[in-house]
Formats: sequence, structure tokens, C-alpha cells
Amino acid sequence: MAGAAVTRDAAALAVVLVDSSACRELIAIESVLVGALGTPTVRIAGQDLPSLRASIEPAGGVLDVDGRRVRPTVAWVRHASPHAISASVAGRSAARSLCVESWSNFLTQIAALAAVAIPGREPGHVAALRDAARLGVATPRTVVATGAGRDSAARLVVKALGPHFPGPSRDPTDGYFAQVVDPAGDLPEWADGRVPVLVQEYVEHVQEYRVYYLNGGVCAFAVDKPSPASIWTAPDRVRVSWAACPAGVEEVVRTLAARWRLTFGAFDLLMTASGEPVFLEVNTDGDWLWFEQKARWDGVTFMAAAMLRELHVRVVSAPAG
Amino acid sequence: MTIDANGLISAGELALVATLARGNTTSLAAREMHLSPHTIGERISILLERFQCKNRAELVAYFYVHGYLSTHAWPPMTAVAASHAGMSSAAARLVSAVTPGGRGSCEEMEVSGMSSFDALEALKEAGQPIDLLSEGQREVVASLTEHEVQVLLSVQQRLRAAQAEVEGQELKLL
Repeated sequence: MAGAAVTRDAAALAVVLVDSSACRELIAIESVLVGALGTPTVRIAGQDLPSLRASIEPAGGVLDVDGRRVRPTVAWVRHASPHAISASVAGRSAARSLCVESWSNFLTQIAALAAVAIPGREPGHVAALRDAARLGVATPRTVVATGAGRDSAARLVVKALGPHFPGPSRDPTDGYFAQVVDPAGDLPEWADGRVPVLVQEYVEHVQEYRVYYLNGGVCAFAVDKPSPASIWTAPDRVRVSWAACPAGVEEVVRTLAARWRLTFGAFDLLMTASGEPVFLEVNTDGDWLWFEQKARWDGVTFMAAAMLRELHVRVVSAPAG
Repeated sequence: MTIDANGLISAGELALVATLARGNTTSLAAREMHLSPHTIGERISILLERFQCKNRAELVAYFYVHGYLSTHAWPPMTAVAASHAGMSSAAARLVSAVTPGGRGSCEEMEVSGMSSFDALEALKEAGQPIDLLSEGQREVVASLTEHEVQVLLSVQQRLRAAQAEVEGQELKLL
């Protein structure tokens, strides 16, 4: 037994937060965890990567970040894809590709050290819609195809098959965002047949909801926007308010989160005039600070911190072995 | 082997070790202190780590040897509680070290094993979505002290001010 100041090789138990994007969600959570909840926390940000000194010891389950050795109790890894990391790595050479791929793998593997990994595995558009339909959840009629032609007179929604890619100019108003196409309208240029896109029927609705699932906790925002892309292209025209999550919507979210074993997910759903919730998509890297700011309600950050605290406490207090 | 008690041991932690010295299990300690077994387990783990003790028995022994638990009282109680109860103790001087100003009487906390502070109610009044948490999350939040809740709300306030800097929805891949 030694004095408290004595250091030892054993790594401390800690929550690990990773976000390689410019998003600030995990910064906010870290403030609450460390500042108020006394929870040891290590955070890795995208801008740290070029100079970060880090190592993983698989056998011992130890992560070393700039000399701070921890055993992750809970790891929340966001935006760790090569595409996301590429914004933090300069250069154009093959070495850059190695760098991007290696960091992506490194950050992703941190989750493997933790007793609990957040958010869990995102199902992807196709699997999500297929699973939802199998579970009896209403979804828009959908096809994923190249050269999606207009073979119906219906109003459609066209989406890129993946995240919301910024356009060539990296201008938020020039991105490959979801777009509503009226019966007489043309598909957007980027959906001109060279890439597979997701085409859905437009679902008439009385309300759109953004719902956050946080390992059992659920909260919702009501979202009113003139078009699917307005969040990026015309944010001032988007109205967001905190909403009591309708029971049917909450049931869908809980059902799907359980199906995909998610600890976190940002779900987008529509409520039809007949009161039927329609599942659109889930984003396991979904942001929330912007919605909080719009709604002037910062409960998601609090709930996320409470979720991490609870998981950390559960892991720390679990019997060894 | 020297431990500086100043700032290292809170009144709640002293009370916790006293309950362990009385032979309580995690469940019994949790019941006595009106906290969840998870929280009790975590606090014990933190104490074991902080004082480099291998197990609870060693932790209790350490607290006796260093005067944090009274050797003049039975059933076991903290030196502070024993001192307030009129028992001889060399550790009464620790009172000021372990009770930060404004957090209530150390004696009261230890004799009752809890404070009357309701963290859930306080956070609810401050507008935090307590009802939207899962049961387990609520349980953990309920164990926060008044001081921790004050800090939490203060941090939230600072974050709110900083949110003005969030200019728009971030592109996921930017």
C-alpha cells in the first residue's frame, strides 16, 4: 500500500469520447461528466490526430492517450470513418491514405476495449428499412437504384445513399442533400444515373419528429422545415421545438433500437394524419446541439451525460472478471 | 505511507467506510445510505484505487490506522461522529478538512447516513428532463449531492452561453 501520490502502472477506469469531426456534442458532454459528475473522461478530437501520441494494448485493454493510460469503461466513438477523418489529415499522397485509414481503424478499435460501446452498429439505409418493415413499422415505399427514372406520377424524395455529402465546393448550400421531386420535376443532377440513390415515396404527414434514443432514455423534437435540405441550406427557416414524444413514435424507436442493439440513435420519423408513425432513418452519429439551440432546450446533453455516467458506474461496480 | 486527508476524503466517503466497518455488504450500505448499489460499488472502487488498498478489509484498516474511524466507539463510526458524540478521538481536527463550507453538518450526514437533499427534484425544478431518463439513469442522477447538482447546473449554464457559437447544423462529414 502506498500513498495517494504514488503512481502505478495500472490504468485508471475512464469514459472515452472520440469524435473526429468538428461537432461539439462530446465536448459538451465531457464538460458535464468531468465538471459536475466526477467521471474520469478522456476525449479525442479530430484536430488532435496529427500530433496525437496514442497506443492500444489489446491484451490489457489499455488505451494510452498522450501518456494518460486508461481502461475504457464506456467508449463513444463518433465520425470515425475514413471520409470523416480525411478532413483532419493534410496532404494528397498515398501516405495520407495510409494515415486516414490507420486512424479510422485505430479510433474504431477503441470501442473494442470498452465494456460498453456507443452507439452500436448503424444498420444502414437498406437494412434499417427492411428490418423496420419486418417488425411491422410503417416505412415509405423505397427503391435503391442507379438511373432511377420517373416511372410514376408520385411525389418522390431522392436521397444520397449514405451521409449528407457536402458538394464539390464544400458549401453547405451545395451539398448532395435529400430533395423532394414533384411529379413533373426532374431528379437532381447528382442522381442522374451514375451513382445508386435512394428514392422514396413522399409521405404526407402532419408532423416530423427527430427522436433521440439514449440507452433507454427517449426525447423528441418536433421539426418543421420547408424541405429536407433546409437544415443545411436554410436553417433560419427551420422551426424546432421540444415535444412530448407520442407513444406510437416512442414505441417504434424503442423497438428499432432494441432490434439493432443501439445505445444511441437519432431517429427521424413522420406522423401521418391518421396517427401512424412512419420511420425514415436512423443516424447513430446524429448531432443534437443544433436542435437544442433551435428549441432552446438542452436536455439531450444532460441525458447523454446521465447515460454515460450510469453506464460507467455500472461497469465500475460490476464484479471483476 | 502518508495520506493527506485534506481534500481527499469527503464526509460521504467517511460515512461509507464506517458502514463497511460495521460489516455491511454493498446492498446493505446502499440501503443505509439511500444510494444505489452501483453507486456504492463505484465509490468503494474509487477509494480502493485512491488509497491503493487491495480490498475492503484493508481499506477499513487503513481508515482506522489513520484516525478517520474512531477506535473508541462501537459499532464503528467515523472519528468525527464519535467526537461529536463526546467520545475521545484524535481525528476531530479532520472535521474542517472533510467538510467544505456550506454543505451542511458532517455530523448530521454521518449519523443519518444521508442528507435530505433531493437531486431529482432539484434538477427537475431546474428544467432537466428527469422523467425522460431510464430508471437506471435516474437512479444514478438521484445519488448526486447538492454540490454536484449545483456544479451540474452551472456547467449547463456555461454550455448554454457557448451554444451561441454553434452556428448551424454541422455537415456530418466536414
